[in-house]
Amino acid sequence: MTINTTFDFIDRLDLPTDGPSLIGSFQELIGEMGMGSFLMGTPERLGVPVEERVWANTWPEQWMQHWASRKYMAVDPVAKRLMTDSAPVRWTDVYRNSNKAGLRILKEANEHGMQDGFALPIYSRDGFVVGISMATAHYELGEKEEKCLHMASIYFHTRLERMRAKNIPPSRTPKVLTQREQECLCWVASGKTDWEISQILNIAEQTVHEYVQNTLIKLNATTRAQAVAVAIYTKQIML
Amino acid sequence: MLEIVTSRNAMLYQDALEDMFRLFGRGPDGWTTSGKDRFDTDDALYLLLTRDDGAVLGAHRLLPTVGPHQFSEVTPELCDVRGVTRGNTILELSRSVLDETGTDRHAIETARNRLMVGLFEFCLRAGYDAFTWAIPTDALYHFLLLGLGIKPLGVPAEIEGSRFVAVRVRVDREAFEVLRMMLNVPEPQVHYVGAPAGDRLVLVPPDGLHASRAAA
Repeated sequence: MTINTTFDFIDRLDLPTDGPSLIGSFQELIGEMGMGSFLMGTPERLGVPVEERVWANTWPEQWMQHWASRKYMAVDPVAKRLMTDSAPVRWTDVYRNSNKAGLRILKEANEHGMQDGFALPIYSRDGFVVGISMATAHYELGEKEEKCLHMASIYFHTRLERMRAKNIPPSRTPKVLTQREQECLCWVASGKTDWEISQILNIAEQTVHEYVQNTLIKLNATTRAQAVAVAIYTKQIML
Repeated sequence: MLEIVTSRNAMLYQDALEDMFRLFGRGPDGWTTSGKDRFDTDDALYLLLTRDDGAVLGAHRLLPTVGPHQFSEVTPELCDVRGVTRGNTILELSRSVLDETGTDRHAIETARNRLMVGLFEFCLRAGYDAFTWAIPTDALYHFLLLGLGIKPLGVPAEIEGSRFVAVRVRVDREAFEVLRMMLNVPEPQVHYVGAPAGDRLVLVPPDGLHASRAAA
C-alpha cells in the first residue's frame, strides 16, 4: 500500500507544481508512512545564511527553534553522519553510538515527540551534502519502506533542486565552459601567462585573454585563481 | 567512435568484441571470467566505444525486451511494482562497462559521457523510445537532475553490496539535446557498418535528428 503510494508520488512529480505544493506532497507521503515531519538542508555550508541552508522544514516549530538556537546542526550526530556516509540511517542507530552531547539531543527531541527518525544524504548540484531527516513518534518503517522512502527522497530532492535552480538569479549559477575555455583555464592553473598559452594553442594572445575573461564571468569569479577553484569544484576541469 | 555491432556485422569486430568480453569479465580485483553470459546471443546489440587504434574504451550491451532479457529471466523481482517492461521500441541496457584502468580521469569521464550520449543517439536513430536499466541509486540522482524521464519499476534492492533500482528511461530528442549539452558531447558518436541488404536495423542519418527537430 505505502509502496504504491511512493510510486504514485513519483509519477505526480511530472505535473506542474510549485515549491510549497511539492513540499506538501512529500510531507503527505512520509505521513502515510508514519513519519510526522522532516527537515531538509545542507549542514556543511558555513557562511551561508540559514534560510539558504534549510530547503524545507516541517519539524515542530518549537523544536526547530531550539535546535537552531543551540546550533545543533554542527554537532547533531545524525547531521554529522550524513556528511560522512552516503547510506541512509535510522536515528536511534546513530544516537546509540554517539557521545553524551548526542544522547542529550535525542532526549530533548523525545521531549518534543520525536522518538526516532530516518535520515539520508544526497549531493546537491554544486557538490554539497543535502540531508533529509524525518522524525516520528512511532517508527514503523520496514526495510522495503525505507528503500522506497530513500528513492522518493532522491526524486523529491531533484525536483526541488531543479525548481530552486530556476529561481536562483542566473549570475549566481556557474555556467558550462566551452572546451576552449576549459583548455585555457587548465593552462592558467598550471601557471602559464596569456602569451604562453597563445603559443601553446597557436591562437592570438587577445583571444586567450577573452577566453579566460569568459570563464570568470561564467563562474562568477573575480580572480583567475577563483575561476580555477570553481571550475575544479564543479568538475569542469581536471588537473 | 561508437560502433554498433550486431550478429550481422560481428565478423568485422572480432578483436574488439574479444576486448569487450574481457572488460565485461573483469572483476573488481582483476579476476577475469569469459565475460559472456546466456544473453550474448544473435539478438544482442553492442555499442563499442573504440579509440582510433581500435582499442575498446567501453561498451553497452542492449537486448530486445520482447525476447528473453535480464529483467524477464534473472531479476524480475527488481520490477516488482510496475512489472517487467516489454515492447518493440524498448531495449534493455543489460550490461555496461568502461575501462577505468588508465590514470587520465578526464579521458575516462569523457568516455563515460560519450557512451551515455551515444546510447541516446543510437536509440533515436534506430527508432527506440525507451530503455530499461538497473541503475545504482547513487547515480539516479545525477540523471534526474539533468531532467531525464526516469521511472522506477520496482523497489530498490541490494546486488553484490550496492543498491540498484530498475528504471525505464524515456528517450526523446529533448533528452538527447540536454544530454549532449550537459555532458559536452556535441558531435554524432554512432557509426554503423550495416549489412548490404535486408538489414533489420536501419539508422536514420545523424543530421536527420536535427533536420526533423528543426521541422518540429
